[in-house]
Amino acid sequence: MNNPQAFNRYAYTLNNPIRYNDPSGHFASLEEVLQSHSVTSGPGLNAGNSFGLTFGFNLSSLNQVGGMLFSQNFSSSSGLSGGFTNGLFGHNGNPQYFGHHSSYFGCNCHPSVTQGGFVPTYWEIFETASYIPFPGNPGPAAKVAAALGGILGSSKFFQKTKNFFSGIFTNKLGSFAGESKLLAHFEKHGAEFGAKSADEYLSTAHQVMQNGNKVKYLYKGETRNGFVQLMGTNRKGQSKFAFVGTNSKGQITTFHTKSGKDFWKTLNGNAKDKTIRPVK
Amino acid sequence: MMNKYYAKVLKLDPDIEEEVTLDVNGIEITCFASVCPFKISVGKEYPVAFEFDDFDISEQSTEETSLARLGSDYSYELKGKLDGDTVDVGIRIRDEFLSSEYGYLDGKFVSLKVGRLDVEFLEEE
Repeated sequence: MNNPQAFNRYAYTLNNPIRYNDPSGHFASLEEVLQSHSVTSGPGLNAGNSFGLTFGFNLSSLNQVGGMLFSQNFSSSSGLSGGFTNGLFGHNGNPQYFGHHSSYFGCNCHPSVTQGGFVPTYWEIFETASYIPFPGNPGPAAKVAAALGGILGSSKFFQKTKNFFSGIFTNKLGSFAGESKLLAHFEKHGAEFGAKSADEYLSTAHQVMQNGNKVKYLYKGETRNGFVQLMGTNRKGQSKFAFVGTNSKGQITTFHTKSGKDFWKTLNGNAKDKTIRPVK
Repeated sequence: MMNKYYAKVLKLDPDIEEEVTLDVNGIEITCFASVCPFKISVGKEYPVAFEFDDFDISEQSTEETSLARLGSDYSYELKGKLDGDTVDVGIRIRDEFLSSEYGYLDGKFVSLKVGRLDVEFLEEE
């Protein structure tokens, strides 16, 4: 286990309640599981199974098609997908072909890693596959993996695949109307959430949309849907909220912090009306 | 009492709809329209009031009045004289926290670094 916070019995969702939630008590959140490098497979599971279970479980909860695709691709033990899986993750392949990255990919690909491997993001799987060195003479499974990894990692197919799955997530949860808007908002407001990348910024916005209260608010003459979640207090001792604004298409129009009069005027048009009225 | 100004909208950002560039008393300010209940247009004037959230405050060694944007976001360094709950940095910005917590700086020139300068578009009375 490579995340020390996971040992902290008193920590909830890795001590970041805005980014993560954990209704079951077992996982930080869907996105955290998908994006974290710190998830380990359990005893008796090899990395291939872990991928299948993890991605299948989580993607199914988000999108059934995505879950099936990932389950087939990453945990199947036969056919082309199986070859890809075994070769890429080293279940039956030779660890030397995967360099130090083998330790990420599971239990049987490196002698020192006997139970469980670190689970990378599904993008990292593709991306890593594109630059894994092959110094020796790879076996058949590794060759298939290399071919597929090279294709997936370097071609437009990879980008399309990545965009396809990104679309599944962002269409479900909402995204900015374009990449430039996301980047512009991240540049202006990323620091308010300690986000180190635009992806992290967007992921945090999704957490607020999933876990916060949905509210109505008026902006530029339009009644819009917003999502608010308490972050704590500012230096003035006022409640500080994460605020996601959306438009009529469900696209995110803003994600920033609000507190004090700004927050209550936005929600209720009155700084003295300090009631959050959630809507369905 | 709110410090109300009439500001002319010079620019609306195409990517960030809350970003507005205003002309207020001859001062050009790019800030964040946190509260804007009605549609606004470039070239028109609207009643506005400015405010800020978190800030760092210190006493100035000089008596400077200025308003300087610190980066590409909406953070500013505001310098001016503190008068009760209002600081005059070329425009007057009121914050009750200034008088409740920094009464000992009342009447002195201060420097405030604010994380985000917000503007509220006010309904015409």
